Amino acid sequence: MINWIIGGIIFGATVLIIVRSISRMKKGESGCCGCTQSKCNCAVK
Amino acid sequence: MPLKFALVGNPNCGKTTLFNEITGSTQYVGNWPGVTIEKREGKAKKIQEDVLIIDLPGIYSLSPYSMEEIIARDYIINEMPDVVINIVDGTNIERNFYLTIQLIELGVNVVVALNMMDAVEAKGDKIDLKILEGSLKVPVVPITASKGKGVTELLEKALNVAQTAAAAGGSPLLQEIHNESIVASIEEIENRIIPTLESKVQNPRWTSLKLLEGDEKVQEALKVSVESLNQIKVYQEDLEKKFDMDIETIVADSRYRFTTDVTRKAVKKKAQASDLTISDKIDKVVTNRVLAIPLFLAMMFGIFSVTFGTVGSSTIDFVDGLVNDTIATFVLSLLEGAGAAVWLQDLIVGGIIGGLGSMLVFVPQIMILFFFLAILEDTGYMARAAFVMDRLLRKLGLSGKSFIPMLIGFGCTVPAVMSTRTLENEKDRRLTIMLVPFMSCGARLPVYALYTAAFFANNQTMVVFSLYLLGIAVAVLSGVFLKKTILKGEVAPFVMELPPYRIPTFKGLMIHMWDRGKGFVKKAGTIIFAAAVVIWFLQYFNFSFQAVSEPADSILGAIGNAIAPVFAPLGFGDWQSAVALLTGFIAKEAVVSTMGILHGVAEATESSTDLITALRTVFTPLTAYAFMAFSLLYLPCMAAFATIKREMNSWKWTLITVGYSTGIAWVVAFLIFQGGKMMGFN
Amino acid sequence: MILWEVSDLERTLKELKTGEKGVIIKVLGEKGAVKKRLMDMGMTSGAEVLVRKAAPLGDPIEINIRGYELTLRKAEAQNIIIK
Repeated sequence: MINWIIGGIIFGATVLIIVRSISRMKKGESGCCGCTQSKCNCAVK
Repeated sequence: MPLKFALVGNPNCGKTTLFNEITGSTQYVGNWPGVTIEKREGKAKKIQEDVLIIDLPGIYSLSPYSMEEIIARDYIINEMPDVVINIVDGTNIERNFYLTIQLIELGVNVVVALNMMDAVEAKGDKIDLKILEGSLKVPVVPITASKGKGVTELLEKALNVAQTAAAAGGSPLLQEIHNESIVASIEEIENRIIPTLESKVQNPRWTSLKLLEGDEKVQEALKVSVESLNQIKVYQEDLEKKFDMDIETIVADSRYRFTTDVTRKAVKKKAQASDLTISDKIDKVVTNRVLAIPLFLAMMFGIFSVTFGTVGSSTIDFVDGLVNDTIATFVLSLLEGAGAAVWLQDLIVGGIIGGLGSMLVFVPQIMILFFFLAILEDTGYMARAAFVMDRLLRKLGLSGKSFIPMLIGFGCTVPAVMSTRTLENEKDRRLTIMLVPFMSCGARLPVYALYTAAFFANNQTMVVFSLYLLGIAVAVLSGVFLKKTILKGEVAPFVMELPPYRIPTFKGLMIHMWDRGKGFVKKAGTIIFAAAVVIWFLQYFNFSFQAVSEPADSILGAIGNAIAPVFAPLGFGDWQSAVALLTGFIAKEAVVSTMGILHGVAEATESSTDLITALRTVFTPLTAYAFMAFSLLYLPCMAAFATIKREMNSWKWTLITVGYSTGIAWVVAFLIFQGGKMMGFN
Repeated sequence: MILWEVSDLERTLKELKTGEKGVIIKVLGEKGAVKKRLMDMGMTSGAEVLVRKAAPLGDPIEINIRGYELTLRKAEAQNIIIK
C-alpha cells in the first residue's frame, strides 16, 4: 500500500512538473532559473 | 481601473531602486547601463489608492534608433499612463533633462523625481527646485530612492497630477524649448500636413515635431504619403540651410541649449569637472594602461581560487555529509521500517536523493561565485571592463559593449542573452548571442567541481580556471570566424556612459546573490527532480517494463549505447556519459545528477565520495578533461535555448547557434583527447 | 557628407590630449543612428568636453561632458570638431 501511495506522489509530481514546464515553454517563457529574476519570467509570474 | 504610473529615466539613474521602494519587491539592481530590459509592473504599496507602477527600460532619448527606446516610447504613446514619473539623476541633471524635455514635448503628465539627492548634498551642490519647476512647468520632487526618502511625497504629487490635470494635448513649453523658426515649421506641419493624413493623429503637436525630425517610425505608423513627405522636406531643407546642420542635429541642439540654460540657472556646482572624484581615483588603477588587463585576470583568478579553494570545498564536504550520509541513511531506515518495497527505496534513495544530492552539494559554491559576480556588477566595474576590452574585442569584430553580456554569462546564459538588447547593431547582437553560451555559466560548475575533485584534487583552481579560459578562447576564435563568414558587417560604434562607482550595500549583494542562487534550488526541486525520476525509471526497467538487474540492459542503457559511439573518439564512449550529456540539455547540472544516479545505483547509499571512486574506474584525467570541455561547450540548456530562440526570433539562427556550439564542442574535445593521447597523457 | 574645413583654432576631439579641454562646435557625419546617439549623449554645439584618459590599448577614450563620464572610440571622436 505505502509503495503505491509514495510512488504515486512521486510520479504524479514528476508528470505535473513536466507538463507545467512544457506549457511554460509554449507560452514563450524561458522557464529559466538560476539567474536574476528581473530578467526572467520565472519569478515574476 | 487602477491608475497607471510609468517610470521613465536614463539608464542607471535609480529607476529600479525606486520601483522596489514603491512596490516593495526585490528586483535586481545593478550598476551598469541597461539593467532593466523589459517593462515590469507592480502595485504601489505605500499609498491607499490603487496604482500600478510600470518600470520601463532606461533610455537616453525617445529617438527611433534603439529597441529599448522604441519599447518605452510605444508604451507611453499607446498605453497612455496617467502619469509619467521621470527619474532624473540629481548629480547629472543636464543630460537627464534631455529626456525630460522630450517627455514634456509628448504632452503627457510628467512629474520629475530628482533622485540621488544624498549624493548631490554630499558633493556640496545646490539645486534650486523653484527655478526647475518654473522653467519646466512640471512638478519636481527631490528624492533619495535608495533610502526611501521623498518617495511618499512623490507618489502623492503624482496622484494629485493624475486626478486634477486632464492630459494636455500639446506642449505649452514647445515655444520655450525650441527657437522660433523650428516652432514655426512645426506649426506649419501641424496645420497643413497633419489634417491631410489618412490616419487619425492623436497628438498632432508631437507628431508634427517628429515628422519634422524625419522620424521613420512615425512616418511608417501613420503611413505618410510620399507627397506629404516631400512637403515636409521643404521645411526640413529650409531649416537645414538656415542653420547649416542636418535636421536631427538642429532639434537636438535646440533641446540641449534649453537644458543647459535651465541647469545653469538652477544648479550651483561646488566641484569642477576637472577635479578628481573617488571614482576617478579608482579608475586610475582599474583602467590603468599597464595594470588594467592583468588586474582583470587576477581578479577572475582570485574569484575562482576562493570558490574552489578551502572555503568552497569545505562547504562541499559539509553538504555532502548532510545530504548523502545523514539524510540518505535516515530516509532509508524510515522506508525499511515502513515496509517499503525495494524499488521504492531505490527510487527515493538512489534516484532522488542520489540525483539531487550530487548536484545540491555544489550549490554553496555556486552561491560564492554569484556573490563575487554581484560585487562586479553592483560596483560599476562592468562598464569599465567594456571600456578596457573594447579595443581587443574590436579586433574580433565586436564592440566593448558585448563584453558585458559575456561577463554576465559567467552567472547564467539566460540573462546574458537578454542583456544583448543593449547592443544597437543587429548583427553584433546576433554574434554576441552566439558567443555567450561559451562563457561558462554557474550551472556548469558542479560538473567541474565533481570531475576536478575526482581527478585533479591538487590543482582544482588551475584546472577550472583553464576551462573558463578555454570557453573565452573558443568564444574569441568563434567571433573572428563568424564575423568573417556568416555575420560579416561593419564594426558597431561604441558610445557608452561610465557610471560612477558605488559601494554596494551588503543587503543589495545578498539579494542579488540569493536571487540567482535560489533559482538553482528551485530548479533542483522541479526540473532536476523530474529528470532524476525519469532517469531512474528508464534505468530500472527494460522495454517490456520489467526491472533489470544490470542497468546496461535498461531502456536508458539502450539509448545510451546507441549514441555512445559518437563520443567514443572523445574518450568517453560509455553509455552513462552519453546519457548524462543528453540530460544536460535539461539543465547542465543534470549531468552531475544523472552521473550520481547511474554510478550510484549499485548500492542505495552512496555519497559523492563514492561517486568519485566510481568515476575513477571509468575516466582518466585526460578523458575527464575532455568530458568537462565538452560539457562546457556543447548545446546550451533548455532555458537558454528558449531564450536564444526568443531573442533571435528565428529558428534558423537558433539552430545554427546550437549546431555550431555542439560541433565546436565535439572538435575541441576530440583535439584534447587525441592530442593529449599523442603527447603521452592519459 | 558635409565637408568641413578645419581651421587653425579648431581640432577634432581625437586630437585632444588627456587633460585637455575644448568646446564642441559641430558633429560631422551623416544623419543616422550613430550621430543621433552622440547628440543624445550631449555632444552638441557649445558643450564643453574634457578628455579624461584613453583605455589601456589607446582606444577608446573617456571624456567628461555635461557633468558625466562618457566613453567613445577615436573613430567617433574624429567626427567631433572642437575649439
